[in-house]
Amino acid sequence: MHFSTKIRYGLRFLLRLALQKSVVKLSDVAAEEGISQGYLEQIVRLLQPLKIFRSARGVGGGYVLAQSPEAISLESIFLQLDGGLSVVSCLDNPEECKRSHICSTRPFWMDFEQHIRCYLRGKSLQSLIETDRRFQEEHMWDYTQAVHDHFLHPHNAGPLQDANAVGEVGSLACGDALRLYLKISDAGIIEKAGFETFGCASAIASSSVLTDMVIGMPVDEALKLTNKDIVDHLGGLPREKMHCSVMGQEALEAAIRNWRGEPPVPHAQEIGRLVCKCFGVTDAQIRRTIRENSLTTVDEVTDYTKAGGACGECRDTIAEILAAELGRKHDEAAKPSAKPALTNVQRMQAVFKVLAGDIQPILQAGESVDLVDVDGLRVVLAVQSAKQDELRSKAQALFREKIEDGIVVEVK
Amino acid sequence: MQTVYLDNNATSAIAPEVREAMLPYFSEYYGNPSSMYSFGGVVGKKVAEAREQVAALFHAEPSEILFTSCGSESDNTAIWSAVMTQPEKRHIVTSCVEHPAILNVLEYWEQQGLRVTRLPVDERGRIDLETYASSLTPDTALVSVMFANNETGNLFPIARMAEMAKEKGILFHTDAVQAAGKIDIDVTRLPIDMLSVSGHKLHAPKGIGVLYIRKGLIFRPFLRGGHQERGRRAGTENVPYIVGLGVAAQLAAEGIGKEETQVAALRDRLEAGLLQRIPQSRVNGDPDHRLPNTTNISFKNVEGEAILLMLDRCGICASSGSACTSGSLEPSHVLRAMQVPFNYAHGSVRLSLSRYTTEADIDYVLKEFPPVIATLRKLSPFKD
Repeated sequence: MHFSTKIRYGLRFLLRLALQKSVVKLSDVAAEEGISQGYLEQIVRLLQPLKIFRSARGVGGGYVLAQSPEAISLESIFLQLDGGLSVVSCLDNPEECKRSHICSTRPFWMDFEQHIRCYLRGKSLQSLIETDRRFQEEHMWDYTQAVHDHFLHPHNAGPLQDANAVGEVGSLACGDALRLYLKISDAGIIEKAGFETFGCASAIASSSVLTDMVIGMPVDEALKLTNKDIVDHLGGLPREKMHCSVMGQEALEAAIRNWRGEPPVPHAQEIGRLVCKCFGVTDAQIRRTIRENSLTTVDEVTDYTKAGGACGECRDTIAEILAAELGRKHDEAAKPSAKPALTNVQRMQAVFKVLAGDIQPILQAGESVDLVDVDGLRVVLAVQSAKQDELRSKAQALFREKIEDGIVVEVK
Repeated sequence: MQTVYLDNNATSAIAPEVREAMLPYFSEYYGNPSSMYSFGGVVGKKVAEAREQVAALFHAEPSEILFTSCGSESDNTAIWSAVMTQPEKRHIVTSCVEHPAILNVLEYWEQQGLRVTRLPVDERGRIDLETYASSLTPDTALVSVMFANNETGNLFPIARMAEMAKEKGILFHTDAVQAAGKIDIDVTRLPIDMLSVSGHKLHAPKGIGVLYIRKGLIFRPFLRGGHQERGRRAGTENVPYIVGLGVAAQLAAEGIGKEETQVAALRDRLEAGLLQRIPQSRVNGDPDHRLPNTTNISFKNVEGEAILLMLDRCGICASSGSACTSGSLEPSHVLRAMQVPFNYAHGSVRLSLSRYTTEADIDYVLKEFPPVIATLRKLSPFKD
């Protein structure tokens, strides 16, 4: 029993169709999968009667899936491409062997084939998508499928010849850099976008998805985009890669400033003073990133802006900026219309940090303080101590000072 | 898809002979080597045999071999012992390109009040012996310098450095985790006092290491408790892993000539092939003095993590000193110490071979690697 290249290549072709929602060119599949285009065309012809994909003609011609991947059974594809499973040849052609009708092992082979068929019937193209997702997850660190797709098949890559806006951020020394090209109409609509990026997979993916997002968008609207929008479009980024999305947002802003004839300095209205000398990050950039992403720790600021990630000398300054920002947030939170500043998970992480960093060191032998629950502004602690009440109010004061003003601590 | 494993400096495949030798010690021979009855004694003899096999790899005596749990434990133990047995001396000399198992431990000792000198390296990653000589003081308790660097494969002049330390009565430790099994290390010719080894870098499993301690050296245990390892490291012996390491050491000793001919030839062909096929690429380190299995190449204007992910798609396993792969924001401390220019430092790839690497593996990498760099360079805004 041996499955032919037809079925093996056919499955890879169909998986590509299923993964890519838009039209897939045969030449692209051939190049990326290392299969000859002529052979792929043969496979496509064989599969056509199943009507699981349709062809799109014209310059961008190719194929697109016509049914949902769940509805496409792998059994039908095996039968169509290989004609059968041919576990042993006497199952399809009993006359081939003169012992067929008296052979006592033939029922075993029939049963065997039924099992394979049954297995294949239970599998659809969706099963291959899931296997692919697991494979990619195992092989591509923590990146989402979207990051992976944009990295390996970037959209709008390369410089734009007729660009009338160019934004550049980053540098070789920083380890990532992005040059964003835009073609903006007189009416202020972004008509085309292109990019060149030096950096890791998430930097390339952030640039690619950004160009998708802004094409067709008025510049005023584009200016409202934050790095969080880029992250959302990618289905998330690992924490230590967040600075890649910030780079995208900054390049967009720089490009639009360039189009408006303004100097390329980011956030010129508040240039600010240089905080991180290693990566050239100003306090204004740090403040903005803290606000837009509800950051609460210095490590988070480093992950998002890179500031403090090299020599670490500016980490104290970042802590001061952070404290001032969090203070500002308390004031805003006090206003009736303001939304809660932290999500429950962020608040819980912040509580853990204070517990580990400020409370644990002051405990005497035999004392313990553990977090039981965080529910909105209510923080429940389990306290083992003779001075339970003193610890409770100490914790509450620290939480209010470092996390949020309205926190109430209860002891279980 | 075929897998080509070129990350042997990170960890190596367990040799089939090693695995086979270990298996009985997970089933029938579970006795405690310290027990009095013969069921334990059989196991004790096997541990003794492994100790001989490991000793032979370094031309040492079996009593000079201490089994530990890993290279890091060996490093911690060596530094601990040197500091504890010479309380009057408060200075340690090391290099700035050591593994974190040394650098971070010394940072701890610095916080405890010791002075640490970290020797700089030049652009090829070499230590200047005059600078080294001037760093040695009457207050120096220990010199700890790696035998070979994990990222570049650079070999340091350990024989000369150890002699210079000995002349001044200073203890000398070397982290030989990368060098052990790849080149001949003969402790009868090298005046070193302690040497660290990690099993999983030489085709034994993870979780076993060795500290060579020269006979007669005053030693203070790091892990206290039972009397195992002649009172120098407590804890019941990890018998299957010790047995495995013994076999791995024997295989390494037998194959050491092959490393310098067969493995080095493959590495050279790979390196020359990549440099020739990919413009604007350069070798990091000191090609005249390095391990036979390692090459570290930088590609201008591309970023290492992106290279690794694309290589991974072709089944090629390598590693990078780029910032993005380590989750930190700067290129590796080794590349920075060598002052590799930024436009090259972010695009470094380390390829480390083993005796299991084949000609076909190299052909495959030479075919698949150049298009990866071309693709990423096309995306990059830096073109010069």
